[in-house]
Amino acid sequence: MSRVRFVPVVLAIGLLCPLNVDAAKWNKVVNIGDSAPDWKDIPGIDDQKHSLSDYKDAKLIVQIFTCNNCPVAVAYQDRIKQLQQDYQDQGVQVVAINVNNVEGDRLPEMKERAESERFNYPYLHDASQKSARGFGATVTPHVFVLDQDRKIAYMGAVDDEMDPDMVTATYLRDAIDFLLAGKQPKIKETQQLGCGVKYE
Amino acid sequence: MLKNLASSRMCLLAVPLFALMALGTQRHVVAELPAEAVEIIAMDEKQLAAFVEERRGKVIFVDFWATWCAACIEEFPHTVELHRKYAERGLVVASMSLDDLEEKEQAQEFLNEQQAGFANWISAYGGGDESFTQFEIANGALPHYKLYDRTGRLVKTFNSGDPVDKPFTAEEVEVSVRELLDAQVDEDSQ
Repeated sequence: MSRVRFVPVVLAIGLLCPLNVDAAKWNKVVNIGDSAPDWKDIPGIDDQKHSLSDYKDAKLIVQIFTCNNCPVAVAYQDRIKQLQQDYQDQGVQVVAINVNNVEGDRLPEMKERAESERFNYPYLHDASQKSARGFGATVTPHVFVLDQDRKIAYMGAVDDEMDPDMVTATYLRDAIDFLLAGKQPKIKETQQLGCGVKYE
Repeated sequence: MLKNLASSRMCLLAVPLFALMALGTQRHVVAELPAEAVEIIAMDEKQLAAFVEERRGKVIFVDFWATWCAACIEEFPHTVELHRKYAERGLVVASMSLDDLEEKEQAQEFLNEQQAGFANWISAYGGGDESFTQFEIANGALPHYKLYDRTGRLVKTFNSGDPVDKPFTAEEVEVSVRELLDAQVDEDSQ
């Protein structure tokens, strides 16, 4: 190959195959820093349709893919409620989305759960599962924090232990604290774990 | 002859023995237990690698599960079935619980009920995220299966909760197991 043609070929290869230095460790669809995939018109337990843009006034959005029946998701219910309560006045909005289409995981049962457990955040049911696929959600619960520009600033687990008495690392709260202080979270991505999202 | 002494000792033994047997039959009415009840051993990923390496020539199937994972509980009989059907043909089945070490009793109970007559382990790292990372459980989702060929190479994983790939079925798992059992192994790669 002549030298004249070599350079553009190398450039072309470089453009087509960028070094993915910041590729997510535990997410095959999105990376930290990506704009949050948009979602629209997802029905909630309030019988209203919800879109990501509805929450444009929130400083941070804590989007949690969760469900009714996974014991891990259930184990985190109180912690999520507490989080919403603690950060309510600082412009943090929790939004919970359930994409499982199985018995016990549809809107009627979701309404019951939200009522008996007094959820203090929207609980939505996305039967299309598009929102979860868009974010590369894999388990319940799987958390994504969207910053003021709606870029993904943290994703993964809520903390490091299913048992609330054994938690040693509060990943989600720490990430929120950093972001509210105008900084990048020290830990931007953690290993999520739980029951697999029931993709169809 | 010690006949008289022996027989009187036998009588003494017989009473508690019969009592135990009576208690035993009361408890274990439902199904036949395997000859040895399940014993779960804590394992890390290096020990798993050594286990696989030591069994070159066999196909190895590892079922990663947890007592909190309903889908794992539901699918586990398929794993037991693989053991029953293919152990003679060279399939080695093992289970790995990702429960917290405190849940070991619960896990053991389930495995006993399932008559899991194969190697049964619990992650040395407990139920937190480290287990999922060290054992490379894709998506952090259970159930998760790993399949090693007769040369000890990890050739396939079955991942739950995948936002891109099609969900796997028990039938597909069995087909993959059979393919590896039937595959010709080069002498060079052993």
